[in-house]
Amino acid sequence: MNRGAVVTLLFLTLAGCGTARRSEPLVGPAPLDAEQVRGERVFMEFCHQCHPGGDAGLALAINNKPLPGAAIKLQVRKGVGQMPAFAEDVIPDEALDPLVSYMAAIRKNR
Amino acid sequence: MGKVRNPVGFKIVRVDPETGTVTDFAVNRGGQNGPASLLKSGGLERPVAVRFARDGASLYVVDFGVLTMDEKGSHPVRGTGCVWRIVRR
Repeated sequence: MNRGAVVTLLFLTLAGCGTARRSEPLVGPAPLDAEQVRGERVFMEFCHQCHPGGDAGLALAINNKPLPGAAIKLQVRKGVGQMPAFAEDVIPDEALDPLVSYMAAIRKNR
Repeated sequence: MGKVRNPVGFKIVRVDPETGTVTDFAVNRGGQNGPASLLKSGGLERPVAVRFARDGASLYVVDFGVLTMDEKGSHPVRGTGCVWRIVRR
């Protein structure tokens, strides 16, 4: 891998990092559409316990990692490391898009 | 399990029992969540109880103060607790 590719990759990595805090007292409430409100409920039921508000807690922060939606869905379905997998009978397929949309909304609200 | 990657809690949240939504209400400023003693800032240390005033115009928060933990047990620091009063601007 040449130096230019390394610098580009490093820049993109750092551009997606930074604080993961999205507390409402700090950044204001995230504007959510109807789909994202549905996604918020899914997040609160299955994700918030380990990723509080998308920040780090028991698990890594997710607000500062701009993963594409397909990667998020794959991680939800397959799990990774200590993160459990959530099967379709737990989080239905039709709930994944709203969940991903909600995660994008809170990530952008900074 | 049991080891957190970032301090959890040390804030006050609102919970909507109908939707299960948890929203931060009062937090310490900064790029990281945590108690004031860790963040080296003023603010919440270890809030443990809340109660609205009878007229609903104030929220009182009991802050236990500094409490560290190690393999020998808990180590509260006398004189670091307080009661906060939060009012609407």
